[in-house]
Amino acid sequence: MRLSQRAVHYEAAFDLTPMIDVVFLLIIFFSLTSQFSAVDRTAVDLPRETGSTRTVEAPSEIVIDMDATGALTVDGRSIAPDALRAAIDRHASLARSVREEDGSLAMDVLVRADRRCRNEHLDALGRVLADAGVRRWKLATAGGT
Amino acid sequence: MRVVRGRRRRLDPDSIRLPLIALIDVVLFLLFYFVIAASFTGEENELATTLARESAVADGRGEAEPAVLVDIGWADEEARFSVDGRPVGARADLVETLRSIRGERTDRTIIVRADPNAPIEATAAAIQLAREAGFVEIGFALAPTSAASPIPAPIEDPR
Repeated sequence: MRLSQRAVHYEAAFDLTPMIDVVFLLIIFFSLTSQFSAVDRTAVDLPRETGSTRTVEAPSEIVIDMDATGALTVDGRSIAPDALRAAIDRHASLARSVREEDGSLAMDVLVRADRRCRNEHLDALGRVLADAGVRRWKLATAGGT
Repeated sequence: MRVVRGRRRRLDPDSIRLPLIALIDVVLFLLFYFVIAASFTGEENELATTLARESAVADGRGEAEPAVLVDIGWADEEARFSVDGRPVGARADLVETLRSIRGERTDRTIIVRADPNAPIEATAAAIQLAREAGFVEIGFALAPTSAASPIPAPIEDPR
């Protein structure tokens, strides 16, 4: 008996479904990991003003959260006003921020202050920043109502 | 010569099946992705890229023209604004007043002086309106607690 010599042809098929699964898994992974810096920030009820669009976060930027009572948080950790100066200096040295001859520090500072917080706390913070050489800083807003 | 191709197999309609499990898998992934992405996209802007302390603004100017002064008073749980000592009523009036002052001046410096008890919300509003009026160099200061300048009374809206 002679067996048929006809070759068996397998249909070449590319299954897209697992690839799409993996792609979306990667998207979720990267979207989560890239948001860690924002997760570090505390929930603050920001002033509801339009402001201007946030610039890309610079490596030299330090974000200071201030709640309604004036308590400060930097990088997700509560910090006493006395320790803020040291934190700024540490951040400046890590980011290699340049200190000018007049003592001013080339550093981006974003203050995320609660809209109900009193101005005396903002002023106290401004004084600490000025002592540290930071003459200009930004107030974060919620982008309008 | 005619090339005879193999007979094309006709698909059996019963054999065509939609892979529902894979489809649901992808749809759930999409849902999961957009839920997570949406929870992080709370819009956050910034205000006053040149916000500086009053002294820093004064140091940098070196001009004889005094800076415009916006005072923020706080009474009866309400912020009250005045520009160079003149009380200003509504928010729209403040921006119009600042615009008219801005048109008369070459210097774009303004100082926002806030009552210590006033909320930052009022300060942010004053800075926002100063920016809208065209002021660039914006300083922040705290009004003395002794309240040398009395808190201006609110102005009745004529409309």
